[in-house]
Amino acid sequence: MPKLRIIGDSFSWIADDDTNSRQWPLQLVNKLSYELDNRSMIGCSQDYTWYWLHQERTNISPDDQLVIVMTSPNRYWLFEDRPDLTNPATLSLFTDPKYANIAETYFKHIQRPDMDYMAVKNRLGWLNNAATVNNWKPPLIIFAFAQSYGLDSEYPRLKFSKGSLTEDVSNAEQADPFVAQLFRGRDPRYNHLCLCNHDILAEKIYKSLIEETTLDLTQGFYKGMLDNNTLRSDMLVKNELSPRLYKEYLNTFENSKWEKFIKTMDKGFFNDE
Amino acid sequence: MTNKLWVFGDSFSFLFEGDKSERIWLLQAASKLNYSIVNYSLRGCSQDFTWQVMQQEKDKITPDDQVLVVLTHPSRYWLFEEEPDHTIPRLFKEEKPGVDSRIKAAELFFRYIQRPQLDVLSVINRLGWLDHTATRNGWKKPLVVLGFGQYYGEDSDFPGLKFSYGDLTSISMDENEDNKDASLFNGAEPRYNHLCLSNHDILAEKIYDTLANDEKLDLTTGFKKGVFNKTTARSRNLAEKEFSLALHLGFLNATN
Repeated sequence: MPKLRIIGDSFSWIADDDTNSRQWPLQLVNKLSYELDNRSMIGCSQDYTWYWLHQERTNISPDDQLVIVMTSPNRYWLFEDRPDLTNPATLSLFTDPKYANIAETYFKHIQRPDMDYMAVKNRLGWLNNAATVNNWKPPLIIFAFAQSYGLDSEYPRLKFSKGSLTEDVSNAEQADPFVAQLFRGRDPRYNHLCLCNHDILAEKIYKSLIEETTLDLTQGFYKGMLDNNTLRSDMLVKNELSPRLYKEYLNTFENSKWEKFIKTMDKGFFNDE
Repeated sequence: MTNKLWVFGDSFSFLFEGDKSERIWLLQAASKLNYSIVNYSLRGCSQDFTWQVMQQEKDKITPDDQVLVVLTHPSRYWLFEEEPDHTIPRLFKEEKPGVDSRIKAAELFFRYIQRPQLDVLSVINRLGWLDHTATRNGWKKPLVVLGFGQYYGEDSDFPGLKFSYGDLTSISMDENEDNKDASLFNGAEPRYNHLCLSNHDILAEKIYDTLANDEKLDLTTGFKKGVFNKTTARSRNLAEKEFSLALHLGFLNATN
Protein backbone atom coordinates (compact mmCIF):
# COMPACT_ATOMS: atom_id res chain seq x y z
CA MET A 1 0.00 0.00 0.00
CA PRO A 2 1.39 3.44 -0.86
CA LYS A 3 2.27 5.67 2.02
CA LEU A 4 1.13 9.14 2.89
CA ARG A 5 4.36 10.52 4.30
CA ILE A 6 3.74 13.60 6.42
CA ILE A 7 6.58 15.53 7.95
CA GLY A 8 6.17 18.83 9.70
CA ASP A 9 5.73 20.62 13.00
CA SER A 10 2.88 20.92 15.49
CA PHE A 11 0.41 21.53 12.67
CA SER A 12 0.72 17.89 11.66
CA TRP A 13 1.90 16.16 14.84
CA ILE A 14 -0.37 13.49 16.33
CA ALA A 15 -0.06 12.23 19.87
CA ASP A 16 0.34 8.48 20.11
CA ASP A 17 -2.36 8.26 22.73
CA ASP A 18 -4.86 10.61 21.10
CA THR A 19 -6.15 9.31 17.83
CA ASN A 20 -9.26 11.39 17.31
CA SER A 21 -10.16 10.43 13.77
CA ARG A 22 -11.09 14.00 12.83
CA GLN A 23 -7.47 15.17 12.98
CA TRP A 24 -6.69 16.17 9.42
CA PRO A 25 -3.81 13.70 8.77
CA LEU A 26 -6.07 10.81 9.82
CA GLN A 27 -8.99 12.02 7.73
CA LEU A 28 -6.72 12.54 4.76
CA VAL A 29 -5.10 9.12 4.87
CA ASN A 30 -8.54 7.57 5.18
CA LYS A 31 -9.81 9.39 2.11
CA LEU A 32 -6.70 8.41 0.11
CA SER A 33 -6.67 4.82 1.36
CA TYR A 34 -2.93 5.11 2.00
CA GLU A 35 -0.85 3.99 4.94
CA LEU A 36 0.14 6.89 7.18
CA ASP A 37 3.78 7.56 8.05
CA ASN A 38 3.79 10.74 10.13
CA ARG A 39 7.18 11.99 11.38
CA SER A 40 6.09 15.42 12.57
CA MET A 41 7.45 16.99 15.75
CA ILE A 42 6.16 19.87 17.81
CA GLY A 43 8.43 22.90 17.64
CA CYS A 44 10.90 21.48 15.13
CA SER A 45 12.85 23.40 12.51
CA GLN A 46 13.00 23.05 8.76
CA ASP A 47 16.47 21.53 9.18
CA TYR A 48 14.96 18.73 11.25
CA THR A 49 12.34 18.13 8.55
CA TRP A 50 14.94 18.02 5.81
CA TYR A 51 17.20 15.81 7.88
CA TRP A 52 14.40 13.27 7.95
CA LEU A 53 13.85 13.67 4.20
CA HIS A 54 17.54 13.03 3.54
CA GLN A 55 17.48 9.95 5.75
CA GLU A 56 14.30 8.54 4.21
CA ARG A 57 14.98 9.57 0.62
CA THR A 58 15.76 6.09 -0.64
CA ASN A 59 12.72 4.57 1.11
CA ILE A 60 10.19 6.90 -0.53
CA SER A 61 8.63 5.20 -3.52
CA PRO A 62 7.09 6.86 -6.60
CA ASP A 63 3.66 5.68 -5.38
CA ASP A 64 3.98 7.48 -2.05
CA GLN A 65 2.75 10.99 -1.43
CA LEU A 66 4.88 13.45 0.50
CA VAL A 67 3.15 16.22 2.43
CA ILE A 68 5.55 18.67 4.05
CA VAL A 69 4.23 21.13 6.58
CA MET A 70 6.83 23.85 6.31
CA THR A 71 7.47 25.50 9.61
CA SER A 72 8.92 28.94 10.23
CA PRO A 73 12.32 29.43 8.57
CA ASN A 74 13.73 31.26 11.58
CA ARG A 75 13.60 28.21 13.80
CA TYR A 76 17.06 26.70 14.27
CA TRP A 77 17.99 23.18 15.33
CA LEU A 78 20.47 24.34 17.95
CA PHE A 79 21.14 21.20 19.96
CA GLU A 80 20.96 17.74 18.48
CA ASP A 81 19.12 16.18 21.39
CA ARG A 82 16.46 18.93 21.50
CA PRO A 83 15.12 19.38 17.97
CA ASP A 84 11.92 20.77 19.51
CA LEU A 85 13.54 23.84 21.12
CA THR A 86 14.27 26.02 18.14
CA ASN A 87 13.11 29.58 18.65
CA PRO A 88 13.23 32.44 21.16
CA ALA A 89 9.79 31.59 22.49
CA THR A 90 11.12 28.29 23.84
CA LEU A 91 14.06 29.68 25.82
CA SER A 92 12.22 29.29 29.11
CA LEU A 93 11.72 25.59 28.39
CA PHE A 94 15.44 24.75 28.61
CA THR A 95 16.10 22.97 31.86
CA ASP A 96 19.73 24.15 31.89
CA PRO A 97 20.02 27.96 31.80
CA LYS A 98 23.45 27.64 30.19
CA TYR A 99 21.86 26.32 27.02
CA ALA A 100 19.11 28.91 27.13
CA ASN A 101 21.84 31.55 27.20
CA ILE A 102 23.66 29.98 24.24
CA ALA A 103 20.43 29.88 22.28
CA GLU A 104 19.53 33.46 23.14
CA THR A 105 22.99 34.62 22.08
CA TYR A 106 22.61 32.87 18.75
CA PHE A 107 19.21 34.41 18.04
CA LYS A 108 20.35 37.84 19.12
CA HIS A 109 23.67 38.10 17.27
CA ILE A 110 23.89 35.55 14.50
CA GLN A 111 20.53 34.62 13.05
CA ARG A 112 19.23 36.89 10.29
CA PRO A 113 16.48 36.69 7.67
CA ASP A 114 18.83 36.67 4.67
CA MET A 115 20.42 33.44 5.82
CA ASP A 116 17.06 31.90 6.63
CA TYR A 117 15.73 32.81 3.18
CA MET A 118 18.77 31.36 1.43
CA ALA A 119 18.45 28.13 3.38
CA VAL A 120 14.76 27.85 2.43
CA LYS A 121 15.67 28.14 -1.25
CA ASN A 122 18.41 25.54 -0.89
CA ARG A 123 16.01 23.15 0.83
CA LEU A 124 13.33 23.58 -1.82
CA GLY A 125 15.93 23.24 -4.57
CA TRP A 126 17.12 19.99 -3.04
CA LEU A 127 13.53 18.73 -2.73
CA ASN A 128 12.65 19.62 -6.31
CA ASN A 129 15.81 17.86 -7.44
CA ALA A 130 15.17 14.77 -5.30
CA ALA A 131 11.58 14.53 -6.57
CA THR A 132 12.88 14.66 -10.14
CA VAL A 133 15.76 12.22 -9.69
CA ASN A 134 13.61 9.73 -7.76
CA ASN A 135 10.44 10.20 -9.83
CA TRP A 136 8.28 11.04 -6.82
CA LYS A 137 4.77 12.40 -7.09
CA PRO A 138 4.98 16.17 -6.70
CA PRO A 139 5.47 16.76 -2.96
CA LEU A 140 2.88 19.07 -1.44
CA ILE A 141 4.28 21.93 0.62
CA ILE A 142 1.79 23.31 3.14
CA PHE A 143 3.02 26.52 4.71
CA ALA A 144 2.60 26.46 8.46
CA PHE A 145 3.82 30.05 8.52
CA ALA A 146 3.92 32.65 5.76
CA GLN A 147 7.45 32.94 4.39
CA SER A 148 9.44 34.04 1.36
CA TYR A 149 10.63 31.27 -0.93
CA GLY A 150 10.72 32.80 -4.39
CA LEU A 151 8.18 31.89 -7.03
CA ASP A 152 6.22 28.65 -7.37
CA SER A 153 7.43 28.46 -10.97
CA GLU A 154 11.03 28.10 -9.78
CA TYR A 155 10.14 24.67 -8.41
CA PRO A 156 8.06 22.93 -11.09
CA ARG A 157 8.13 19.55 -9.33
CA LEU A 158 6.62 20.91 -6.12
CA LYS A 159 3.11 21.98 -5.19
CA PHE A 160 2.63 24.85 -2.75
CA SER A 161 -0.29 25.91 -0.64
CA LYS A 162 -1.71 29.35 -1.23
CA GLY A 163 -1.68 30.99 2.18
CA SER A 164 -0.54 29.52 5.47
CA LEU A 165 -2.04 27.60 8.35
CA THR A 166 -1.06 30.14 10.99
CA GLU A 167 -2.04 33.40 9.37
CA ASP A 168 -5.02 32.28 7.30
CA VAL A 169 -6.60 29.53 9.37
CA SER A 170 -5.40 29.19 12.97
CA ASN A 171 -5.16 32.85 13.92
CA ALA A 172 -8.35 33.60 12.03
CA GLU A 173 -10.28 31.23 14.29
CA GLN A 174 -9.84 33.70 17.12
CA ALA A 175 -11.89 36.79 17.60
CA ASP A 176 -8.89 38.19 19.45
CA PRO A 177 -5.82 37.82 17.21
CA PHE A 178 -3.29 37.57 20.05
CA VAL A 179 -2.78 33.85 20.30
CA ALA A 180 -0.65 33.75 23.43
CA GLN A 181 -3.02 36.00 25.33
CA LEU A 182 -6.00 33.86 24.52
CA PHE A 183 -4.45 30.43 25.10
CA ARG A 184 -1.83 31.46 27.68
CA GLY A 185 0.77 29.36 25.89
CA ARG A 186 -1.37 26.22 25.86
CA ASP A 187 -3.34 25.80 22.69
CA PRO A 188 -6.24 23.42 23.41
CA ARG A 189 -6.83 22.65 19.73
CA TYR A 190 -5.54 19.70 17.77
CA ASN A 191 -2.76 21.10 15.57
CA HIS A 192 -3.83 24.68 16.41
CA LEU A 193 -7.07 24.20 14.51
CA CYS A 194 -10.67 23.64 15.56
CA LEU A 195 -11.98 20.30 14.41
CA CYS A 196 -14.46 21.87 12.00
CA ASN A 197 -11.46 23.28 10.16
CA HIS A 198 -9.69 19.92 10.30
CA ASP A 199 -12.61 18.59 8.27
CA ILE A 200 -12.26 21.35 5.72
CA LEU A 201 -8.48 21.11 5.54
CA ALA A 202 -8.53 17.35 5.01
CA GLU A 203 -11.04 17.71 2.18
CA LYS A 204 -9.09 20.55 0.57
CA ILE A 205 -5.81 18.62 0.66
CA TYR A 206 -7.54 15.53 -0.69
CA LYS A 207 -8.99 17.47 -3.61
CA SER A 208 -5.70 19.18 -4.23
CA LEU A 209 -3.92 15.84 -4.52
CA ILE A 210 -6.59 14.04 -6.52
CA GLU A 211 -7.60 16.87 -8.84
CA GLU A 212 -4.13 18.42 -8.99
CA THR A 213 -5.44 21.81 -7.97
CA THR A 214 -3.91 24.46 -5.74
CA LEU A 215 -4.45 24.02 -2.02
CA ASP A 216 -6.08 27.32 -1.09
CA LEU A 217 -5.84 28.10 2.63
CA THR A 218 -7.08 31.66 2.25
CA GLN A 219 -10.78 30.89 2.04
CA GLY A 220 -13.46 28.39 3.00
CA PHE A 221 -12.50 27.99 6.68
CA TYR A 222 -14.53 28.87 9.78
CA LYS A 223 -13.36 32.07 11.43
CA GLY A 224 -13.69 34.08 14.62
CA MET A 225 -15.28 31.43 16.83
CA LEU A 226 -12.79 31.54 19.71
CA ASP A 227 -12.64 34.07 22.51
CA ASN A 228 -12.51 34.02 26.30
CA ASN A 229 -16.23 33.30 26.51
CA THR A 230 -16.56 30.59 23.91
CA LEU A 231 -13.53 28.84 25.38
CA ARG A 232 -15.75 28.18 28.39
CA SER A 233 -18.57 26.74 26.27
CA ASP A 234 -19.10 23.04 26.87
CA MET A 235 -20.46 22.61 23.36
CA LEU A 236 -17.46 24.21 21.72
CA VAL A 237 -15.01 22.34 23.90
CA LYS A 238 -16.71 19.05 23.15
CA ASN A 239 -16.99 19.57 19.40
CA GLU A 240 -13.86 21.45 18.52
CA LEU A 241 -11.04 20.94 20.99
CA SER A 242 -8.80 18.22 22.36
CA PRO A 243 -10.06 17.15 25.83
CA ARG A 244 -6.52 16.46 27.00
CA LEU A 245 -5.12 19.73 25.72
CA TYR A 246 -8.09 21.65 27.07
CA LYS A 247 -7.40 20.23 30.51
CA GLU A 248 -3.79 21.37 30.23
CA TYR A 249 -4.99 24.76 29.05
CA LEU A 250 -7.15 25.17 32.16
CA ASN A 251 -4.20 24.14 34.33
CA THR A 252 -2.00 26.89 32.90
CA PHE A 253 -3.85 29.45 34.98
CA GLU A 254 -2.37 27.85 38.06
CA ASN A 255 1.03 27.11 36.59
CA SER A 256 3.70 29.66 37.33
CA LYS A 257 6.00 28.39 34.57
CA TRP A 258 3.48 29.38 31.96
CA GLU A 259 2.76 32.64 33.68
CA LYS A 260 6.48 33.38 33.34
CA PHE A 261 6.32 32.34 29.71
CA ILE A 262 3.48 34.75 28.99
CA LYS A 263 5.22 37.60 30.77
CA THR A 264 8.33 36.99 28.69
CA MET A 265 6.23 37.01 25.53
CA ASP A 266 4.71 40.32 26.59
CA LYS A 267 8.07 41.89 27.32
CA GLY A 268 9.84 40.76 24.19
CA PHE A 269 12.97 38.63 24.42
CA PHE A 270 15.44 41.00 22.94
CA ASN A 271 14.46 44.10 24.75
CA ASP A 272 17.78 45.23 26.18
CA GLU A 273 16.29 47.39 28.87
CA MET B 1 34.94 36.03 -26.46
CA THR B 2 31.39 36.43 -25.15
CA ASN B 3 30.86 33.30 -23.10
CA LYS B 4 31.74 33.45 -19.46
CA LEU B 5 33.36 31.23 -16.88
CA TRP B 6 31.49 32.03 -13.66
CA VAL B 7 33.66 31.19 -10.68
CA PHE B 8 32.35 30.99 -7.13
CA GLY B 9 34.78 29.95 -4.43
CA ASP B 10 37.30 30.75 -1.72
CA SER B 11 41.04 31.42 -1.63
CA PHE B 12 41.71 28.56 -4.04
CA SER B 13 40.14 30.65 -6.80
CA PHE B 14 40.53 34.20 -5.49
CA LEU B 15 42.54 36.54 -7.73
CA PHE B 16 44.59 39.36 -6.29
CA GLU B 17 44.24 42.69 -8.03
CA GLY B 18 47.60 43.73 -9.43
CA ASP B 19 49.43 40.54 -8.56
CA LYS B 20 48.58 38.10 -11.27
CA SER B 21 50.63 35.50 -13.05
CA GLU B 22 49.26 34.27 -16.32
CA ARG B 23 50.04 30.80 -14.98
CA ILE B 24 47.30 31.02 -12.33
CA TRP B 25 45.09 28.02 -13.00
CA LEU B 26 41.93 30.01 -13.40
CA LEU B 27 43.44 32.33 -16.00
CA GLN B 28 45.03 29.46 -17.89
CA ALA B 29 41.84 27.40 -17.91
CA ALA B 30 39.68 30.31 -19.06
CA SER B 31 42.15 31.12 -21.81
CA LYS B 32 42.29 27.55 -23.07
CA LEU B 33 38.49 27.37 -23.05
CA ASN B 34 38.10 30.82 -24.60
CA TYR B 35 35.92 32.13 -21.76
CA SER B 36 36.01 35.49 -20.06
CA ILE B 37 36.07 35.22 -16.28
CA VAL B 38 33.47 36.46 -13.82
CA ASN B 39 35.04 35.66 -10.47
CA TYR B 40 33.10 35.91 -7.21
CA SER B 41 35.66 34.18 -5.03
CA LEU B 42 36.47 35.48 -1.58
CA ARG B 43 39.27 34.34 0.68
CA GLY B 44 38.05 32.70 3.86
CA CYS B 45 34.39 32.69 2.87
CA SER B 46 31.81 30.04 3.68
CA GLN B 47 29.65 27.97 1.38
CA ASP B 48 26.72 30.16 2.39
CA PHE B 49 28.45 33.22 0.97
CA THR B 50 29.17 31.36 -2.25
CA TRP B 51 25.56 30.30 -2.57
CA GLN B 52 24.19 33.71 -1.77
CA VAL B 53 26.22 35.23 -4.59
CA MET B 54 25.16 32.44 -6.94
CA GLN B 55 21.52 32.96 -6.05
CA GLN B 56 21.90 36.67 -6.77
CA GLU B 57 23.69 36.13 -10.09
CA LYS B 58 21.91 33.07 -11.45
CA ASP B 59 19.66 34.92 -13.87
CA LYS B 60 22.70 36.40 -15.64
CA ILE B 61 24.20 33.00 -16.40
CA THR B 62 23.40 31.68 -19.88
CA PRO B 63 23.40 28.12 -21.26
CA ASP B 64 26.60 28.95 -23.15
CA ASP B 65 28.43 29.91 -19.97
CA GLN B 66 30.19 27.58 -17.58
CA VAL B 67 29.82 27.61 -13.80
CA LEU B 68 32.74 26.47 -11.66
CA VAL B 69 32.32 26.20 -7.90
CA VAL B 70 35.24 25.72 -5.54
CA LEU B 71 33.50 24.12 -2.59
CA THR B 72 35.09 25.38 0.58
CA HIS B 73 35.05 23.70 3.97
CA PRO B 74 31.49 22.98 5.14
CA SER B 75 32.23 23.91 8.75
CA ARG B 76 32.90 27.56 7.89
CA TYR B 77 29.96 29.66 8.97
CA TRP B 78 28.98 33.15 7.82
CA LEU B 79 28.24 34.54 11.25
CA PHE B 80 28.01 38.29 10.66
CA GLU B 81 26.75 39.81 7.46
CA GLU B 82 29.51 42.42 7.08
CA GLU B 83 32.27 39.85 7.68
CA PRO B 84 31.78 37.05 5.15
CA ASP B 85 35.49 36.20 5.38
CA HIS B 86 35.36 35.59 9.15
CA THR B 87 34.08 32.05 9.25
CA ILE B 88 36.29 29.98 11.52
CA PRO B 89 36.72 29.81 15.31
CA ARG B 90 40.28 31.15 15.55
CA LEU B 91 39.20 34.51 14.13
CA PHE B 92 36.91 35.06 17.08
CA LYS B 93 39.08 35.36 20.15
CA GLU B 94 38.23 37.96 22.71
CA GLU B 95 41.07 40.28 23.67
CA LYS B 96 39.02 41.58 26.57
CA PRO B 97 36.67 38.84 27.76
CA GLY B 98 33.09 39.96 28.07
CA VAL B 99 33.48 43.19 26.10
CA ASP B 100 32.40 42.09 22.65
CA SER B 101 29.18 40.11 22.91
CA ARG B 102 29.34 39.20 19.22
CA ILE B 103 32.68 37.48 19.65
CA LYS B 104 31.23 35.61 22.59
CA ALA B 105 28.29 34.59 20.41
CA ALA B 106 30.70 33.27 17.77
CA GLU B 107 32.64 31.27 20.35
CA LEU B 108 29.49 29.77 21.76
CA PHE B 109 28.20 28.95 18.29
CA PHE B 110 31.31 27.04 17.26
CA ARG B 111 31.61 25.32 20.63
CA TYR B 112 28.03 24.27 21.27
CA ILE B 113 25.88 24.59 18.16
CA GLN B 114 27.87 23.81 15.05
CA ARG B 115 28.21 20.12 14.26
CA PRO B 116 28.93 17.95 11.22
CA GLN B 117 25.33 16.74 11.09
CA LEU B 118 24.08 20.25 10.25
CA ASP B 119 27.04 21.00 7.99
CA VAL B 120 26.41 17.94 5.84
CA LEU B 121 22.69 18.66 5.75
CA SER B 122 23.39 22.13 4.42
CA VAL B 123 25.95 20.96 1.86
CA ILE B 124 23.48 18.49 0.40
CA ASN B 125 20.71 21.10 0.26
CA ARG B 126 23.03 23.57 -1.46
CA LEU B 127 24.11 21.03 -4.07
CA GLY B 128 20.46 20.09 -4.59
CA TRP B 129 19.66 23.73 -5.27
CA LEU B 130 22.56 24.02 -7.72
CA ASP B 131 21.63 20.85 -9.58
CA HIS B 132 18.01 21.97 -9.77
CA THR B 133 18.91 25.49 -10.91
CA ALA B 134 21.39 24.30 -13.53
CA THR B 135 18.93 21.79 -14.95
CA ARG B 136 16.03 24.20 -14.96
CA ASN B 137 18.03 26.93 -16.70
CA GLY B 138 19.67 24.64 -19.23
CA TRP B 139 23.20 25.36 -18.03
CA LYS B 140 26.16 23.23 -18.91
CA LYS B 141 26.85 20.97 -15.96
CA PRO B 142 28.47 23.10 -13.25
CA LEU B 143 31.86 21.78 -12.16
CA VAL B 144 32.21 21.43 -8.40
CA VAL B 145 35.89 21.38 -7.39
CA LEU B 146 36.31 20.32 -3.79
CA GLY B 147 38.46 22.83 -1.95
CA PHE B 148 38.45 20.50 1.03
CA GLY B 149 37.53 16.84 1.33
CA GLN B 150 33.95 16.54 2.55
CA TYR B 151 30.91 14.29 2.51
CA TYR B 152 28.08 15.28 0.19
CA GLY B 153 26.34 12.00 -0.58
CA GLU B 154 26.79 10.30 -3.94
CA ASP B 155 27.63 11.95 -7.26
CA SER B 156 24.59 10.14 -8.66
CA ASP B 157 22.32 12.16 -6.33
CA PHE B 158 23.20 15.19 -8.42
CA PRO B 159 23.15 14.14 -12.08
CA GLY B 160 23.26 17.75 -13.25
CA LEU B 161 26.64 18.40 -11.62
CA LYS B 162 30.23 17.29 -12.18
CA PHE B 163 32.45 16.73 -9.16
CA SER B 164 36.20 16.56 -8.78
CA TYR B 165 37.68 13.34 -7.49
CA GLY B 166 39.88 14.46 -4.62
CA ASP B 167 40.40 17.96 -3.30
CA LEU B 168 42.70 20.94 -3.65
CA THR B 169 43.81 21.03 -0.03
CA SER B 170 45.45 17.62 -0.42
CA ILE B 171 47.42 18.87 -3.44
CA SER B 172 48.41 21.95 -1.51
CA MET B 173 49.60 20.01 1.52
CA ASP B 174 51.48 17.44 -0.57
CA GLU B 175 53.59 20.22 -2.10
CA ASN B 176 55.18 20.64 1.28
CA GLU B 177 57.90 18.07 1.92
CA ASP B 178 57.03 18.31 5.59
CA ASN B 179 53.44 17.67 4.56
CA LYS B 180 51.57 18.07 7.80
CA ASP B 181 53.51 21.12 8.99
CA ALA B 182 50.73 23.62 8.39
CA SER B 183 52.60 26.23 10.45
CA LEU B 184 55.38 26.55 7.89
CA PHE B 185 53.98 29.74 6.41
CA ASN B 186 52.86 31.20 9.71
CA GLY B 187 49.70 32.53 8.07
CA ALA B 188 51.65 34.26 5.27
CA GLU B 189 51.08 31.96 2.31
CA PRO B 190 53.50 32.75 -0.56
CA ARG B 191 51.69 30.68 -3.21
CA TYR B 192 48.95 31.80 -5.54
CA ASN B 193 45.81 29.99 -4.37
CA HIS B 194 47.86 27.76 -2.03
CA LEU B 195 49.40 25.99 -5.02
CA CYS B 196 52.82 26.10 -6.65
CA LEU B 197 52.75 27.39 -10.22
CA SER B 198 53.80 24.04 -11.65
CA ASN B 199 50.63 22.59 -10.17
CA HIS B 200 48.61 25.52 -11.48
CA ASP B 201 49.72 24.38 -14.95
CA ILE B 202 48.60 20.82 -14.27
CA LEU B 203 45.29 21.87 -12.69
CA ALA B 204 44.45 24.17 -15.58
CA GLU B 205 45.10 21.40 -18.09
CA LYS B 206 42.98 18.96 -16.12
CA ILE B 207 40.11 21.41 -15.86
CA TYR B 208 40.35 22.06 -19.56
CA ASP B 209 40.11 18.33 -20.26
CA THR B 210 37.14 18.05 -17.92
CA LEU B 211 35.17 20.88 -19.44
CA ALA B 212 36.20 20.52 -23.08
CA ASN B 213 36.43 16.73 -23.32
CA ASP B 214 34.10 15.64 -20.51
CA GLU B 215 36.86 13.84 -18.65
CA LYS B 216 36.74 13.19 -14.92
CA LEU B 217 38.62 15.82 -12.93
CA ASP B 218 41.02 13.68 -10.92
CA LEU B 219 42.87 15.68 -8.28
CA THR B 220 44.45 12.63 -6.69
CA THR B 221 47.13 11.93 -9.30
CA GLY B 222 49.50 13.76 -11.63
CA PHE B 223 50.42 16.66 -9.36
CA LYS B 224 53.89 17.54 -8.15
CA LYS B 225 54.63 16.67 -4.53
CA GLY B 226 57.37 17.73 -2.14
CA VAL B 227 58.14 20.90 -4.10
CA PHE B 228 59.48 22.78 -1.08
CA ASN B 229 60.40 22.42 2.54
CA LYS B 230 61.14 24.69 5.46
CA THR B 231 64.48 25.73 3.97
CA THR B 232 63.75 25.95 0.24
CA ALA B 233 60.52 27.86 0.85
CA ARG B 234 62.74 30.84 1.68
CA SER B 235 64.72 30.58 -1.56
CA ARG B 236 64.35 33.41 -4.06
CA ASN B 237 65.13 30.99 -6.84
CA LEU B 238 62.22 28.71 -5.96
CA ALA B 239 59.96 31.67 -5.35
CA GLU B 240 60.55 32.94 -8.87
CA LYS B 241 59.51 29.59 -10.29
CA GLU B 242 56.66 28.63 -8.02
CA PHE B 243 55.36 31.46 -5.84
CA SER B 244 54.01 34.97 -6.02
CA LEU B 245 57.00 37.22 -5.44
CA ALA B 246 54.89 39.77 -3.62
CA LEU B 247 53.39 37.12 -1.34
CA HIS B 248 56.80 35.55 -0.85
CA LEU B 249 58.16 38.87 0.38
CA GLY B 250 55.33 39.00 2.90
CA PHE B 251 56.15 35.47 3.96
CA LEU B 252 59.83 36.32 4.51
CA ASN B 253 58.89 39.37 6.54
CA ALA B 254 56.40 37.43 8.63
CA THR B 255 58.82 34.62 9.42
CA ASN B 256 62.00 36.60 10.05
